Formats: sequence, C-alpha cells, structure tokens
Amino acid sequence: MTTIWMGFLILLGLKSVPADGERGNPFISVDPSGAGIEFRHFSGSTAVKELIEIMGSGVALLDYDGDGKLDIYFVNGASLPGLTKTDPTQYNRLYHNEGSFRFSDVTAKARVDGSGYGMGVACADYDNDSDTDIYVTQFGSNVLYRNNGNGTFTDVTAKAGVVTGGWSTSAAFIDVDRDGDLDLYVARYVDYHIGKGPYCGEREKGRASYCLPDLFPATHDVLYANNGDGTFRDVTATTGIGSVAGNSLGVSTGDIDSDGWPDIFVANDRTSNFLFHNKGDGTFEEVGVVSGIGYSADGLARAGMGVDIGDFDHDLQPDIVVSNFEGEGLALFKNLGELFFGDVAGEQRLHEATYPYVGFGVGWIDYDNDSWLDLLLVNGHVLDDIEEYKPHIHFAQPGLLFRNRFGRLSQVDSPPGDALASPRVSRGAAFGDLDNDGRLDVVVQHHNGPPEILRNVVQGENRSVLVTLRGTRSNYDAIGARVTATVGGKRQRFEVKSARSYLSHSDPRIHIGLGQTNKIENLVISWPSGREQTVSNLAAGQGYVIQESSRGFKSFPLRTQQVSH
Amino acid sequence: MPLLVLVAVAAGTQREPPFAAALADFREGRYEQARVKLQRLLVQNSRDAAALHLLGLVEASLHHADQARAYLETSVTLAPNQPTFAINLARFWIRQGKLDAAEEVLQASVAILPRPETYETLGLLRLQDDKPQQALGCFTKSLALAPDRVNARYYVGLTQQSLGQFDAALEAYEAVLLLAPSDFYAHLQSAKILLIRGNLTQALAHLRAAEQEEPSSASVHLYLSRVHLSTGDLDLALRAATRAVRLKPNDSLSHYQLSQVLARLGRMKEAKLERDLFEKYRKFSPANLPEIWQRQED
Repeated sequence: MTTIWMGFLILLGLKSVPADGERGNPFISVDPSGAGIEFRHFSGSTAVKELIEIMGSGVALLDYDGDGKLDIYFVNGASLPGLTKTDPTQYNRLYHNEGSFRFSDVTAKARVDGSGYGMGVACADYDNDSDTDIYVTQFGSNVLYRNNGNGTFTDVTAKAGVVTGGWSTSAAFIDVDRDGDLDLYVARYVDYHIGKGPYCGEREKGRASYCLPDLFPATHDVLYANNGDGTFRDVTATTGIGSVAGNSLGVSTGDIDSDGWPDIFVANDRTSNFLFHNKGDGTFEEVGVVSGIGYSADGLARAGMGVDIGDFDHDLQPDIVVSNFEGEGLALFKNLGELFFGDVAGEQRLHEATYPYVGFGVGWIDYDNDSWLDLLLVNGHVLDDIEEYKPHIHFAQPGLLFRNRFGRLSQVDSPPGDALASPRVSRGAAFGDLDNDGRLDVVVQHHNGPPEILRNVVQGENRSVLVTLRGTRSNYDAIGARVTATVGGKRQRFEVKSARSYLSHSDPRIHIGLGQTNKIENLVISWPSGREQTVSNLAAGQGYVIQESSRGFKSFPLRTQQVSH
Repeated sequence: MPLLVLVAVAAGTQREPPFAAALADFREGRYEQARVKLQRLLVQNSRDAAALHLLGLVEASLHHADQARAYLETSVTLAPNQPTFAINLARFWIRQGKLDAAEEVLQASVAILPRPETYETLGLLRLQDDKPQQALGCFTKSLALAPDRVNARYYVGLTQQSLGQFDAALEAYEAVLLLAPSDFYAHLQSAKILLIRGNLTQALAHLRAAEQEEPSSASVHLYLSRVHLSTGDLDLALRAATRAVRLKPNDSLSHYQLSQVLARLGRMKEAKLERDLFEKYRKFSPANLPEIWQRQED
C-alpha cells in the first residue's frame, strides 16, 4: 500500500468534453499584453538573408521557483551580423506565473536575458539541488544558467564545460547512463558562418533568397556526460554520437525499444533522421535508416523540424511524430517493435492535411482528457516571398489540431476567428497546464512577433491527473522514468522527458487523461535507477508528486498525500 | 539515353524509304547510321523540315547539343504548324535547363495552332516549375480542345496529387481508366496514393493491373514490395523488391526498398549493402527529365 503525497492542489474545472469531436477547437487565444507578456521575437532579418533568420526560437514552460505554477521562458534572436543582443527588446525573457493567466517579467532579477543569438532551450535540474536550471542553445556558444534557488540564476557555462560552439538548435537533458544525474544532448545544424555564405537567389534581379541547408556541411551533435559535480565532459566521440553528421533541428528522447535505456531521436533537415539506440554500455548505435524512420518511404530525406514521442495508439510502444516541409507531409512513425517503424501518416490522413504547410512545433497532447493523445502542430513558411513563386503556398499558415479517437486521428475544424485558424509564422511550441486546471495549454513562439498563449477551455465530463515524479536515486526530475497507467482496465504508457517539439521545453509533469473514469487504478513507475514502484487508486482531478523513496509510507487525504515506499 | 518524342510523320504522307530507314535507325539507337541517311536527304533538300527535325533528335541523342539545337530550331521555323516539332524543341530546352526558352517555343506554337498536346507540354513545364495551379489551367485548355484526351486527364490527376489533393487525383485517374482501362500510369499513380492511405487491397489491385500492362516495370515491383511490407508479408516483399532491383539495377529506390525488407528479415549485412547501393545511386543524377515527363517519354 502506498501513500500519496500531493504537493499542490489541482483546481477542478473539469467539465471537459469537446463539443462535438471534430467541430471547433478548444483553445482560445489569451492576449499576451493583457497577460503581462510584452515579449516579441526578433530574428534580426537582413537584406543579405542569413539562414539563421528563418529558424525562429524556442519557448520553455518550467516552474523555476517551485511554487507549483508553470512559468514561461522565451528565447530570442539578436542583431546581425554581430550576433549580439543590442537592445533589451532582443533579450530572452522569463515570466513568472502569477496565476489566472497573469505573468510578470522577472528577467532582470533572474539574470537570464541571454547574450547571443538564441535558438532553443532545455530545462532540468542538472545538479540535483531541487530546482530547475536552464540551458539555452545559441549560434556560437550556448549558455547554462544554474538556478540559485532564490529567483536568480548564474551563468555557469564555462565552468560546466558546455559552451559547445557551432550552430546549436534543440537540446535535451537525459540520463544516458542511468547514474542518477542528467547528461546533456545538444543538436547542431549546419556548419555556417555569418556573412560568409554563398549568394542565393536571383542576383540579376537583385532578389536575394535564403539558401538551402544542403549548401553547407552537416555537423555532428554533441553529448555531454554529467560528472556529478556541476561539470560535464564531452563524450561525443566515445559514445558514437559523433560518428554521424546531420542538419539537426528537433530532439526528443525515450526508451524506444523498452530495454530500460533511454534512446535519442533527432529530426534532421534534408538529411536522414537519427535514432540513436542506447546499447547500455556507454555507446549508441545510429539506426535511423535501417529502422525505417531515416527517410520517407520513397527514400527521401525530408526537412524534419519538430518531433514528439508518445504512445498514440495505446499499444504501449512509443511512436514518433515529425513535422516536415510543404509537399512532404507530417510523418507519424508507428513503433512496430524491435526498433522498426512504419510511417502511418498517410493512412491517418495526416499526410494530406499537412501537405501545404511547413510544420515546426508539434506535440502529443490529450487536449480533451479522453485518454487518447491528440496532436497539435504549428506552421509557418520560411520564405517570406514564397507566394511570388508558389501562389498556392503562404508565408503565414494556420495551426492544425487532430483529435485522437481510439487511435484514429482526424482534423478538428478551426473556423475563421478560432485561435489556431489565424495564419501565423510559427516556430517553437511548448505544452503544459498553465493554470493547473487539468487541461493542457499551449504557448507558441511566432516569428518576429508576439507569442501566442492558447488556453484550453475544452468542456465536458472528462477528467485528468497531473503527476510529478521526484527522483532520489534517480535524477531529481525523473527524466527517463517510464509510467504505465491503468485506467478503466486499459493501460497507457508515458515517459518523463525534457525535450520535444521544436527548440522548446514543455511541462515535465505527466498529464493523464481519464475520460469519465474517476481514478487511475494503478500507476507503475519504472525509475531510471531501475527501481519499480506501483501507486494505486489515484483519484481524478488531482495532482500528485510521487517521490522515489525507500523509507516507509504515509497515507494522506487525496488532495494532500505523498507516495513513498 | 532516354528518347525524346519521336517525330510525328505528317498525316497521310508516306515518307520515302531513306527517311523511313533513318527513322528505324533512330528508334533502334543506331544514331550514326541515322545521321548519315538524314544528311544525304538534306543534300537533296536542305529545307526538309522532318529530316532536319529527326537529325536534331539524333544529335541530341549523341549529346551534340549545339547541332541538335540548330536542327530542331530550323525545323520549327520551317514547319510552325507541326506541334510535335515545337514540343520536342521545348523538351530539348528543358533538358538543357532553359525553361524560359522552352516556354517561348510552346507559346509561339499555341499562338499559331492551339493543340492539346502543346498545352499538355506547357502544363508539364508549369508543373516542373512548381506552378501547379497554372499547370491545371493548361491541362484544362487541352481538355477543352479534346475532352477525351487521356493524357490531359492523367496530368490533371498528377497535378492534384502534387498538391496533396488525393481525393481529386484519384477521381482524375478513375476518369482516365474509364477511357482507357489498362492505362499503366493511371493504375500506378492510383496505387501510390492508395498505398499512402493504407488502402492496401485496392493498391494491390491497381498494381496487378499495372503489372499486366508492364510486367518489366521496376516501379510496379517496388510498390508491390511496399504493399507486402505493410501487410507483413516479408517473403513476398523480398521477392518483389529483388525483382525491382534486377529490372533496374541503378535505381536507388529499389535498393532502398530491398534494404528495408532485408532489415526486417534480420539480414542486416545484406541490408547494409543495399543501403550503400541506395546511397551510391542516389548521388548519381543522370540528365533525365523529371519523373512527370515519364508518360510522354514512353
């Protein structure tokens, strides 16, 4: 018998069933200014059209002060060609969640305004001191902000040894060796030098254009092993990560073959996607192509941008979704077991629905709490003059929402005026429960514009549970922990991870939709340490913090209980 | 060397044996012999448009671009009412990467004599230039001139497929099959869409029909392999992929498909070899027209 220790109270506002399945999306757009968010993305666009200008930046949802509410961190670009933030409007911004969709800018106090041209962000407690740290990827050198635990951060990049260099994109904290501290994977794009690229476009007409990444050498990603003392060492070569080069943009992690070791999936732009299979001996083997997820079924390397991993069809195997370019369609790689995958985007009609769009941020989110992972994708082209070449394709593009019913995805209509329907040039997207009402919200970074906060107001009777796992022998954030939830006699699989979508970091809590069932019968947790733990009878409409512990157990009322073994 | 569209002999005109012999040489790939015969004909009549045109095709096949251009252009000037001459010249320009020149030739031709095949070629040019809406306009014009024209209907389907409008594309291919039930390309493209959608039984039916028409088509066996792989029939998938590779040894996609099947069968070393061949042939890009021209080529 286990006791459940709840670190916070979940507000119930959980009359949540989508109005009619596929008609009308459940998100409303919260005015960022009205919410206290004055951030505006800055790409540093120039007449030269440097490739970096079109990539956009990421956004993170993290609880940096441990008050139980998700805060928001926006990454920003910088002026070109200098790659420095020359104006406060170019700073990265941290917003503290005051509740009720009100936020306050705490960037200056926190000292996380960034320095160079920001790309992505990953958040986790890398030093296991119980607060969330921030790693910002940039063009040139990255930044690791250690959380001081008092609302401020310290730049410890050099000391930690994670400067990296080159053009970093997404990053992921992951305990690759399961030694209890978080290692760091950094994806990198192409070998590019500002001001030194070839001319692309129609020179005789004076029309510069953005170059394709094919013109630049691919680079290998970087893996840092955590030394356990606040520093990291570069293990790229010894682990095999450095054996392949690609144009890496999106990263997500998970135990793809359920062998107990976390693997790494990388979405590459016009080079084959990578699947680094963790062999459990300190090395990885890249198996993307042989697994069937490297290329399209036609043997084409698509422009992979965003990625997420989730068990969308309840077969307890993690499946992988990748957003791609217009004319390529979204990829949905169904896990067939034994490290083989088949792209089922076509039979799910996702391929056709996403054909005209350039997809970036993407995520599995059970927006209606019916226990089936739905899919949200934000889009936006990279060429601001695309309509001159292809009148049927647009620079600004609407977002797309697909509802999952028993493993079948269908597009949710977003009539004009709906939040997702407005064409935007979207890039990073992060998913999380901003108001702790059990309904997942979304924050989107829009290129050269204010962000968008999509508040989930889905109605109906479905309920959910939010679970925070806290490692003791495992890393504090429990990244890599696998969770199998039995709800109404049926099992669902989840995994704690730090990276998904595009350049962004989402709510690390596990959100479990229960439909109209009133409890989770069993929650089996496979901790990264190897420990297995079972928690039973978690009531719907609650949040739980479950700690990996070896001492006794306590029993508390449902809203105030902690589980320990 | 892929062939350009053969010269259309003027309706009702029986060409003399030397020309017919030269044409036969060209069809059989005996380009030098064809050239000799045609040059003799041109000594007798230097303004023989058909001979000039065929000689242009011969020179193009021999990679003599300048000579080919000269002969083809002269033939078009001498016979502006021959849409096939304009189409062949346009395709020559397309192979040279000169889409503007191709456009000019085709526009001049339709201005003199609007013909469905010329609009079709204009449409394919638009499609290659990533302008599918304009391509549809051209194919529509072709159909306005010849409503039962199978090619134009097929190209409408191809364009819609390129836009991801799969329902419309399938309808277009269905319309082609009503007019021409054994149309290989309509069966093949229908199969591709149905395969993407996971409608494997229907995809298989179309592939079987395509196979009946063209048993030696590597593409058919490639897609048969993909169907079988999707249904888990690995032995059948292997057989089909192996056949595809045998039929077209330098086709990168066939090697890719074979590598995928071998991997699923656990034959990793062989899968790696096939992957290496896939990468090798992927990098090799012969100066062929894009796949959209395949129907005209054949």
